[in-house]
Formats: sequence, structure tokens, C-alpha cells
Amino acid sequence: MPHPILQLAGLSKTFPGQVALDQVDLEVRSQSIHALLGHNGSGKSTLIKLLSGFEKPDYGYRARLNGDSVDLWEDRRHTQQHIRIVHQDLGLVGNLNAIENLALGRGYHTNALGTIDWKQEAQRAQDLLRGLGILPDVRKPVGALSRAEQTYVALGRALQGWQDYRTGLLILDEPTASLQSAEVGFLFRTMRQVRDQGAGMLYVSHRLDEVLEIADYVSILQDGRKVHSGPVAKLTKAELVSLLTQGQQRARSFPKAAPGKKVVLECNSVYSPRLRGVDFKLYAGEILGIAGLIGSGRDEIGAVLFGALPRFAGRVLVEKQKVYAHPREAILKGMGYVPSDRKRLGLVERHRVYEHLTLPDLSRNTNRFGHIRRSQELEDVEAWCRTVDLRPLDLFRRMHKFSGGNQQKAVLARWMRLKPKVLILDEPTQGVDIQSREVIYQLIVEACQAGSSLVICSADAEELALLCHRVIVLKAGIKVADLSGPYLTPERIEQEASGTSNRRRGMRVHQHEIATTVVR
Amino acid sequence: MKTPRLHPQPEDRKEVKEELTDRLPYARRKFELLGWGWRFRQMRTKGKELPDSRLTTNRFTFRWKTLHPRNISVIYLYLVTFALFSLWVPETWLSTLTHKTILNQEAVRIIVSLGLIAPLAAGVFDLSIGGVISLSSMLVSWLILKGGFSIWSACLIALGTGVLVGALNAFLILKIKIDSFITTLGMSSILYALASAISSGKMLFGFDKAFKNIARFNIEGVEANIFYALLFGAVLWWFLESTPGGRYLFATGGNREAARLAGVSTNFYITASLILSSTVAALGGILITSKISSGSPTVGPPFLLPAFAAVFFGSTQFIGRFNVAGTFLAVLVLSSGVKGLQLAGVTALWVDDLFFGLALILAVGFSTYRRKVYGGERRWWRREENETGTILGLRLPFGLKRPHSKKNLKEWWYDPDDQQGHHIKPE
Repeated sequence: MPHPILQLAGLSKTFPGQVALDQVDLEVRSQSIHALLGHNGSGKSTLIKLLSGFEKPDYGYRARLNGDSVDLWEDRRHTQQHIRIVHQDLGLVGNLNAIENLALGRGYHTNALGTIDWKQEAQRAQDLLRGLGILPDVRKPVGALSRAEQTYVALGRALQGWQDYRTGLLILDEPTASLQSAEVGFLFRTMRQVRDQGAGMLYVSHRLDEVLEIADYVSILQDGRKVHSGPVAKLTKAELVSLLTQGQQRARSFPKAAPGKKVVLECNSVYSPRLRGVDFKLYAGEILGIAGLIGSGRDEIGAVLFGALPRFAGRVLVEKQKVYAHPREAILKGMGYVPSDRKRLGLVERHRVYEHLTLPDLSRNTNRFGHIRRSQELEDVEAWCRTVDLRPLDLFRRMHKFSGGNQQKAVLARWMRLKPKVLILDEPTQGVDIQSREVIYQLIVEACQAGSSLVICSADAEELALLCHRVIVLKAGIKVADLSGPYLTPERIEQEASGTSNRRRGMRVHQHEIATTVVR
Repeated sequence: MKTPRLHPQPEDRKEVKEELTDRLPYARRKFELLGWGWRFRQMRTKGKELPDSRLTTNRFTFRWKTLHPRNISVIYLYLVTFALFSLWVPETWLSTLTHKTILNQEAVRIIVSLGLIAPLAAGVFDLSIGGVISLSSMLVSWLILKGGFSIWSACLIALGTGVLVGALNAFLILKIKIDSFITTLGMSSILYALASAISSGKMLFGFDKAFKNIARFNIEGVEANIFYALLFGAVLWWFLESTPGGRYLFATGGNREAARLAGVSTNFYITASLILSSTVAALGGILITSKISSGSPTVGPPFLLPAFAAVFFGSTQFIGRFNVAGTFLAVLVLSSGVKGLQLAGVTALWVDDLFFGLALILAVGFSTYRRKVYGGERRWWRREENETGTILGLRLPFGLKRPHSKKNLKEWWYDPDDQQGHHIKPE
């Protein structure tokens, strides 16, 4: 008889300037797979972090684990025994082998002298993985295994040492993101096995087909709130999509001028580790969206166009001039790039606002001896900070002290100041609160009106449909759809990105011979 | 592009002023509740426009915070040192000769330390400066005394060696991709070996007056070295603080990948900074040879650690990153302390190292120790949220009640789980 394993009531998490999770109730039962859906920034990852005891929830929630009231923060040692997580990046150490990775959490079995009994360890690891249905080389570094094998090692690590499956909750965070379809089917078989032994599962995914195939219950998060929870059995995909997009308060569209005829950016059969020959053209005054699932090349294409990542083949032309694969070159040719990983790539955390904003182009604020005219620089920066509504408006504040939304505004201001011909935005609203998101959308439209053409790579179909003139959908590194006009709807984008059938027909990609030398 | 007008502009001050009057009751309450500190602040800002974070982009305003020992501890340290030795050994400490001697002795160390700022700002270590000093010292003395070169050509060759070493370091770090720490450590050892090979274990003496005068030329007992240091310091300060090059250097050190994506040629700046530091170290080698008028392979290594200590100490001063003034003063203040101890009769050899080490750890520790607090700082001395402290009916400038007292249970900010004294303000 299924019983509730985890019950949450009123779980919230506030970050400075942002409510990431707002009064979420959730119940996961044993012997069931509970899918958790939501767009980027809807609070899925925050929920997982709270459950894993990585962050401390706000005061005033109630949690029950197998009927006992627990404190997710204070009792995290205890809850970790019952709540096991397979993270999206799997959390394996690449240069250790499977045995060592499996032992990371629990320690080794040692003999009387304290030496590790490797034979026994290997046997255990093999038994564990064989139980899950695969048999990789447990002495090979995990980095050298295939992605599917790695997923299984991570799964094995999460499952080991459970006394009773009926009291355990397994959280899987997008485990199928980079698996082939046959491997996905295999993983689902394993998941069903684990479920039938009594465990409850929380399955986080973007792929609706997979959710419909495997999940028993589904909960949908939106901007930190839970908007739907219920059984999957009678839902159709269309209903699920409408549930996902209902109540989105950004239905209003932005006024967009029709794009011109002139080609500003041309991308000719570009190859990179993920991209397998992408062609497209960007016209003057156009906002072009690039959609796709994780691992489809959508997360890489912006950096490749800008030259931040190497490209193996292909050409990028800005106004018919060839752009070599180097950021400096790209900036000189009139490109700008707002990366998705803001902390690591977008800004220098210790920089003050004015230093951050003027870094790409200081020449307009220097005199002919190369001396920075400080007051002129500050005026320039102040004007831009007002334009993007930076809060607080303190030009001497260090960048890491701002909230995510304001950091992103500052990053946008930095590139809008250059008036680039092409501005590439990678996940412009990732980790950004709702108010700032509005401002950022408005800024994007304004940048377009001011004469830039934009490329927006985003996982949020809603956002793309709202902002873009045209959307390209990537799948497995190949352009599969070019949507515009009446076809440009969030549902259509998601359909094209995830494939209409769960068999994922049409996914078969010609394995080209890819040159591995970097082309400049 | 014309900057689009979305958000409050300076013309909108009027509205905001009205908004501010809404806050008056609260301000009034504060006035009643809190003592003279608040009253003074009221008096100071009464007729003036009140600062509002949305309208004032904070420019160079003086704040008492800048005088906090965390920001200018060198100066306080110097005051303490000065007072201490004025009382302890007044007759020697209070003579100008002592201080001139300190300047003359430390000038080369200052120059070398200043040169070291560049690679550290760019995020790479340069441990090879000790080796470069030894090598250039040996090279210059060998070329002049044994090789029969003129002074100028010998100096140029030594400086060229410095450039070469810097370029080689940069090549190994950027192209072969060895960690900068390891590269320069190895390079330092190699250079030291070279210097020893040139000297074959002997010191070289017998320079003529012209060479000695490079460093020993003096005005009223202040030797030329200190002027070189001042000149170099001024140029470096200007470069780091007010040219694009300096900005790019700090950006490279702050986050190399982000700087590269912002169009900074990070490799160029790393190379340039390494070349600068080793060239300056070579210059230091020449100057020290001229000053002690003998070439020896052992002059370099004692420069290495004090230089690092001074640069890191200096980086905690004034503006919170590597800077010239901080480094300059750090060297002087630390060596003043050592000198004072020597004058007082503490002549043990280890005093020098001990003093440098202690001062470095204390200064850096003091400036970096700060608790991380979410949602602003709330400490027990902030009275807005606690009651004011009173003793015998007199208000104290700090609160006495702890925020965790059960009396606060009904307050909006009270969080019983909060062990660290921080809180998150509810919406």
C-alpha cells in the first residue's frame, strides 16, 4: 500500500532580492514516480537544493519524512539517508574510477590493517551495477565511460546502502538530458524496477513525452509557486503544455518592427563539439531565437558564434566580413555576447560597476595620452545605469553584491553601450527575478529598436515566442525547424525541440567525419 | 542610440522628495529614541537634500569608514611603531639619520615589490624575481669587471636578460600551460644556478666610482635609489589606476575568462606583466650591486618573500586591491619596525623575518575577516531592532539586548532558527 514518503507544506526560500520558492506543498508517495515540471528559474533546482540540505529553507515550513516531522536543515544528516539525489551533472569525479566514486559518500571497506580491500570493493561495485542492469569496467576512470554508463554509476551511488526501499526517495534531475533514445528506454526500465521495490521518485525533466510515459503524478512549478499537482494517467500532452503555460503573466507582447532585408549575420555550416553544421541568416533589426533541449547545441551556439568556444569548421560573417573565432575579433567586427554563466563568464565579481561597464570599450573615455577621464566615464556609466534601472544605483558597488537581476542588467548595459550590430544573448533571464525580467525584455526590444540585431538562445519557449521575430530549433546539433509568423508559439517550439514522439524519430544524425583541428 | 528614458531621471527629484516626507514619522521616532549621534546626523543633513539611493550615484564622498583600521592599518601601525620607539630609544630613533638610512636601505626592496604588483594584479605568481636579481647582479659585475664592457652596455645586457626571463616565463605559463607558481619556482632555481655558475662561488669587487654612483648619488644623504622608486611608483600608480591598460590588468587577474570575453587580450597583459616584473627585478639587481659595490649570487633570494609580503599587505590598504601606495608604505613601515628593534638592541637575525610574517598575517587577516551576512547586517549594536541600552537612565550608543532574547518573539524580524545573527526581511 503506497504511503507518503515526503510531505512538504509551506516550503519557501528567499534569496536577497528574490523569492526563489514560495509556499510550496508537495507529497511524494512510495511506489510512485512523481514528475516535477517547470521552466528555468521556476524553483526546481532550489527545491532540490533544499531537500538535499545544501541550502537552508526559510523559517515556517513543515516537512514530514515517512510520517516523522523533520527539519530539512538541522536533520540533514538523517534525511540524506532517505533522500538520495542524482544531480543533472551526475556529481561524479571524472578521474576516479567507478569503485572510488561509489565509495565517495560511504567510505571504503577496509581490512584489519586499514588497507582498502580492492578485490572486495570491485566485487561489490560490479554486483551493484549488475543489479541495475549494466556491467561497465569498474576500474576505468568514470570520465572515460559513456554518458549512459556514467548515469548508472551515479544511480548506483544514490541507491547503495538503502535498508528499505519503501522509506526512500530518489530524486533524478534531468537524467535523460544527454542520453540516446534506446538508453532512455533502458533507464526507464530500471526506474520502474526501483519503483516497484517500493521507492518514491521525484523526476525532474523538461521532456513532456517522457513525463507522460513514466510518471504517475506530476507537479508543476511556476515562478516559485506550485500551480498544479495531480495524477498523470488521464492527461494528454496538450493539456500538460497548457498547464505549464497557464497563468503566465507575461502574455502581453512587445511592439516589434518588421526586420529589414539586409543580412547582418551569416552562419555557414558551423561545426563545434555539439553543433553539426548549422546555417542561418540574421537580418537587420531582427530578434532571432534559438531553442532546443539541453545538449542540443542551443547552450553552445552563442559562445561558438562569438568565438568564445572553438569551432571546428564553418564561417561566421558579420555584414559579409569574415569573423575569426576570437572574442576580441568578434567585438571589433560589431558583435556582443551575454553569456549564460554570469558568475564565471559574464562579469568579474570584484569589479565595481563602472569598471565592469566600461571594460570592453574604454577608448571613448580616454584622452590622447591614454588617461581615463574619470568624471566623463562616470557620467557615461551613470546614464547607462539609469537606462537599465540598476538598483541600487551605486557606481562604486562591487558586482557580486548585486542581485542576479541587477547583475544581468549591468551586463546588458555593458554590451548595449557598444551599440553592437549583433548582440548574442545566452539565457538572458536565467536566475533573474520577475521584475527584472520585465525590464530585461524591454531592454532587449529597445536594443533592437536602436539598430542592433539580436540572437537569443533560451530554454524558455514562452520567452522566445514573446520576444522573437523568428525562432530556430536545434536538435542534436542540427537545425530542425525555422518558425515564424503564426507558427511561432511556445507549444510549437516545445514540440519541435522535444520531438513529437517519444521514440524520437528523426533523431538519427549522420555521423560526419568531424575535423578536430580548430579553424580560425 | 539615444538613451531611452525608462526610469527616474534627475528631473524627477520632486516626487521623490515628497516620498521622503512619508518617512518622517520614522525619522522622528529615531530622533526620539536614539541619542546624540542621530541628532548630529539630522543637524548635518537638515537643510540639505537628503541622499536617496535612486538619485545619487555615489561619487567620491568622504566616509569615516575609510579611516577604519581595516583600510589603513599601515598608517596606524606606523604611528604605534613611531610612538613606541620614541619612548624606548628616543635619542637614536628621533634623528633624521635613522630614517634616511631606512629609506636608503629599503629603496631597492621597494622597487622590486612595486614591479611584483603587475603579475599579481594579472593573476599570476612571479617567484623568479629572486633569481633574476642574483643573475643580473652577477652578470653586470662580471661584464664590467671581467668582460671589459662599458657600464651602459653591461646594464642593458642585464636588463635584456630580465626581459628574456619574463618572456620565457610567459611562454611556459601561457603556451605550455604550466602553472605560474611552478614555472617561476623552477625558473628561479635555474637562474640562481646560472648566477652561481658565473661567479663560481666568489664575490666580485672593485667597481669604479661611476658605477657606484648609479645608486649612491645622494642629495642630503638621501640616495638616488629612493628617487628611482618614487618615479617608478608614480608611473606605475598612474598606469594601474587611470589607464585602460591597468583596468585590463586587473580584469585579467579578477576573472581571466570573463575578461577575455569582454575583449581583453589577456595573454598580452599576462606576458607584459611578467616581463615588467622580471625587468624591474633585473634593475633591482643592478642597483643593489651598485649600492653594495660587489656582485654576489646570494643577494637575490632575501628579496623574494618580503616583496610578496609587502605586496599582499599593501593590497589590503586604501582601495582594497593591489596598489602602489599600499605596497610602498608597507615596505617602509615594516622595515621601520625592524630597524627600531635593532636600535633597541634586539639584534637577533630572525627578528626581521618574524616581524614581516606577523605583520602580514595580522594585516591581511584583519582586513579579510568579515562575517557573511544575508539581507544586510543586523548585529546586537544596531538599535533599530533592539532596544537602546541605558545605564542609570543614560542612553548608550549601543544596544544591550540580544536579538535572540525571547522578548523579541513577536517582532517581525525575529527568527528563532537564526544562529548567526542574520535575518531575511519578509516581503
